[in-house]
Amino acid sequence: MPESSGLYVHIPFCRTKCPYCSFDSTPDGEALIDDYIEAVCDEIAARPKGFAGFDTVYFGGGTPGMLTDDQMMRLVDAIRGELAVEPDAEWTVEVNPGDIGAEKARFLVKKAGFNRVSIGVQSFEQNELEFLGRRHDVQDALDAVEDFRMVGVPFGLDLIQGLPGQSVEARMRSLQKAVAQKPAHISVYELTIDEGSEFFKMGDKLPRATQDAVADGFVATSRYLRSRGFIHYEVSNYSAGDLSNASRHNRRYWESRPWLGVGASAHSFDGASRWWNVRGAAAYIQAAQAGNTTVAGRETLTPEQKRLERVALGFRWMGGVAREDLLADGLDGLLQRLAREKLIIVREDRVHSTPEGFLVADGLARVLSGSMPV
Amino acid sequence: MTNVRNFSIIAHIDHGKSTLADRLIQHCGLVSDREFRDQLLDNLDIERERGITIKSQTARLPFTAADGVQYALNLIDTPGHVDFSYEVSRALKSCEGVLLLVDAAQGVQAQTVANMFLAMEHNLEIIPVINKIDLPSADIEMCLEQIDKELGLFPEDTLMVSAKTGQGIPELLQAVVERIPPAKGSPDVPLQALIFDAFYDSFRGAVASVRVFNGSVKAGDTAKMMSTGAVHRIEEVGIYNVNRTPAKQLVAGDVGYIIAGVKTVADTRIGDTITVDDNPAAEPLEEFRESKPVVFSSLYPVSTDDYVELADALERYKLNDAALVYTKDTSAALGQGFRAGFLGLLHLEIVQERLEREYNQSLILTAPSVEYHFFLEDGSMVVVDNPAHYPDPVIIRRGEEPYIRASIMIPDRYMGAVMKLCLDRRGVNSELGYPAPGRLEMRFDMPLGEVIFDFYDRLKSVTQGYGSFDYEMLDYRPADLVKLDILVNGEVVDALSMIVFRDNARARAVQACERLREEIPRQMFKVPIQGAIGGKIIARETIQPFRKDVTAKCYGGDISRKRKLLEKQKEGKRKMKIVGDVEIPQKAFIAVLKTKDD
Repeated sequence: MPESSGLYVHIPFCRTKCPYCSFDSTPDGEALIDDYIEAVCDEIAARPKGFAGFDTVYFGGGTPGMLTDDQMMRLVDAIRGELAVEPDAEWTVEVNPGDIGAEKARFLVKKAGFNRVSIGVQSFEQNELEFLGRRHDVQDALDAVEDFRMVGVPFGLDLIQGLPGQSVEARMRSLQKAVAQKPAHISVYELTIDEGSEFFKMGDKLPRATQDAVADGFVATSRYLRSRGFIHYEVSNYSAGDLSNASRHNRRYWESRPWLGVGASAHSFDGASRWWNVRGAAAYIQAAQAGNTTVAGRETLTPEQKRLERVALGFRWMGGVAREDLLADGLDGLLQRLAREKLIIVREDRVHSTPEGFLVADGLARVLSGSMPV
Repeated sequence: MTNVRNFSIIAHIDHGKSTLADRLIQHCGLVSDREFRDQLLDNLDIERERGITIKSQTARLPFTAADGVQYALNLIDTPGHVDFSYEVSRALKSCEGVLLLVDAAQGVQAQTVANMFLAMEHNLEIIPVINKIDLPSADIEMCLEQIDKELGLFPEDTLMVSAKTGQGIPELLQAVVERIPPAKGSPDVPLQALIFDAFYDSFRGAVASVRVFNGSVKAGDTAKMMSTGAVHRIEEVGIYNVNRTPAKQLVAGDVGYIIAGVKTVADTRIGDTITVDDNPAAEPLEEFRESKPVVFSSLYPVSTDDYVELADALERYKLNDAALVYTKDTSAALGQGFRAGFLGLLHLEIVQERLEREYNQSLILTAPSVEYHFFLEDGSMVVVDNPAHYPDPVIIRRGEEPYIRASIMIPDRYMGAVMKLCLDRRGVNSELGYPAPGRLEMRFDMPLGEVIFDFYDRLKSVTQGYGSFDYEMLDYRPADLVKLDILVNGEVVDALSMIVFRDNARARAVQACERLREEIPRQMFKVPIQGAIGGKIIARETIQPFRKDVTAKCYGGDISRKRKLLEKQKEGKRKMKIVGDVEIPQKAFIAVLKTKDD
């Protein structure tokens, strides 16, 4: 059976730009959306060969929930019409509280066919939502959860933690509220100050959480959620009960399995090459309308590059890394030492990060791949 | 010859020597205003940045005096630092007079006095000049008083200039003509030309700057270096119009250059006398004295792959700096490198910076050392300038280290701080002098080893920049010396070992360990850093492992970036200094040599 594929659709529009965000998204871009959707439909139609059997579809952004029902249906119809999407495929959409009502929730699930929803609640603490520049408040978040619960779709909650000055207690309050909503999935992202974000531009004026505070908070988060029946299956991702609630689509990224990305700045991987589209909705539309390629760059991976990717990605999630991919000098001693420090679990032919190991996953990759000294 | 004047400008550091030189050149029309660059004569980057002259250059200034007669004024630029006093002295020997420059705001400083004595040793006419009179803080009364009391010169002979604005420059040039004696020498006797500077031209080989004292020299003559007897056919002689300008000949009294197909400046030694082979002078102008290195350090390429490149760079650099001496050296931590000897700490810094800037080398230098003497049980004595050659302690009967006589000039309010600094550095035999009200000269005998370790920086710091420092070598004195090793993750980093006075060992070890803890990035594991004498640990620090180094998100677009990071690290691995499984950044080696308050 040929390898199945995933589809990622990037919706680079937002009502406002959040200060921590460095993703490709355009506030005030509503006038562009129709043209953008046509361009994406064209790209789907003109997709490269070699992608078959799509079993995951993921709408990310930006704010996919911003699309009108018609706009969304135009995309969904194009996908179903053009691509061989498997009947039991996972359909995920990212939504923001405040953009969503009961009607929209019903539409997305019953009409558009999404069977997995990722709700960007970010926090259940009002002052944290304000710091993060979110347009919604705590009640909006609870309402959004309620809307999707009523429709009967499994949903995930996205949180941002590790804010400067955030106490462990504040962390726990948000997590307890999140768990109380009985989500199928929780993502907890430690705040990073990425280049290109408003926070980054603030430089020294923005206080930063210390490495130790973030590490302590991360460990506390992981322990708490695991005690409440979640599996910590990736650095920032927890699935309720068992791995069946984990994001099938995101696992593609970490397992180096193929996916097609469409839309501005979307990346694709066909098992041999990676390529990525031009950044910015306007530039993407322009290229598409002029009949030019929307691809901005491409690389074909050497076996060594593939190995390094497997190592870089494997320590970030439960899947781990095959021992044969680890080429560090004195590997056995290193593995023993790291296992003693409870950062990894060594199995016969694979090495897996522990939840504490996730915190230093990049270091594990560096040290064990053979690219760095200890 | 009666129309030739040879003179230098001497001054304390930063008193405006280079600015004045530039102004004189500009005034005499050697360069157009458009070409005029600030500090024309200081043409090395490092000199320009630090405002000091290291390699001297020379210019012949055409000047029409008040009597309407055309004069050639040879300005011989001198290096401005204590490490280069030998070069200064050769330059001064080539002159008949000097302009002694005093900063109108700062007054007479240590080097003003030292340089004046040098000029007096050579029986030169001294013209006191107060510079920077345009400064709001200028205190001309104070300067005149100091010129009278501290220098013993006549205040009424003093000229007032501002090299910056050009004020007083014509009067200054007129004074050079009137007060500095015409160049001496006889053209009709065998050639005696003193090499007072030499530099390397990649097309022509070594270029010797000379003062012709007797006789004459022209292209086609066969030059003989009187210190070695080596002979070379002279390809070109000429004068300096800022740039080199060929001339038919140089005659007694002239200052100019000689190019004789000599491959390295090491063969055109400063202080040597050139004569002509077929009609040689009976004796040299003075006995040639080789400059002797007093500070030693090892140089390693940051990337061990670059050793051959460093060897090549050193070889080319050496063409231009005869004072640098070096031999091969190896380190377990740093690979292959060189052990080098320097005239002083500044010379060391200059070599380092020039190798890095002009020759694109990335260097690691080890802790500077002096030459220690160790007397062994078998009665022999070994000279050790490299901790790697420290003898087995059980066979050492006793050690000796070199002492200097330090002379420090300060405003007297800093006396307490400087006294403490010097006593901390084992200064003994102190003497105080009061050259002028409010000014203090402190003299100490001090181990040179204490001075090469950041003493000058500390002095500047405790005197808020007002202290100046000069020294001369004294003798060797007994000292209890031990070898201090630094261990990272249990392994000795040989490049960080140093020979130290026993009582200082603990403090130095603690400091080195602290610095390394700050500079070495947190690792996957705990890393101990220790200082040890023999097997005995005397200081310890621990680098805690990092707690978090993961990025929160890694989705489709992040994967290439993650991989590239690993690829980059793999590439960089070759270039790293890894000891005991720990990567030690270049700046850690440098930081160990600095104290906290820098």
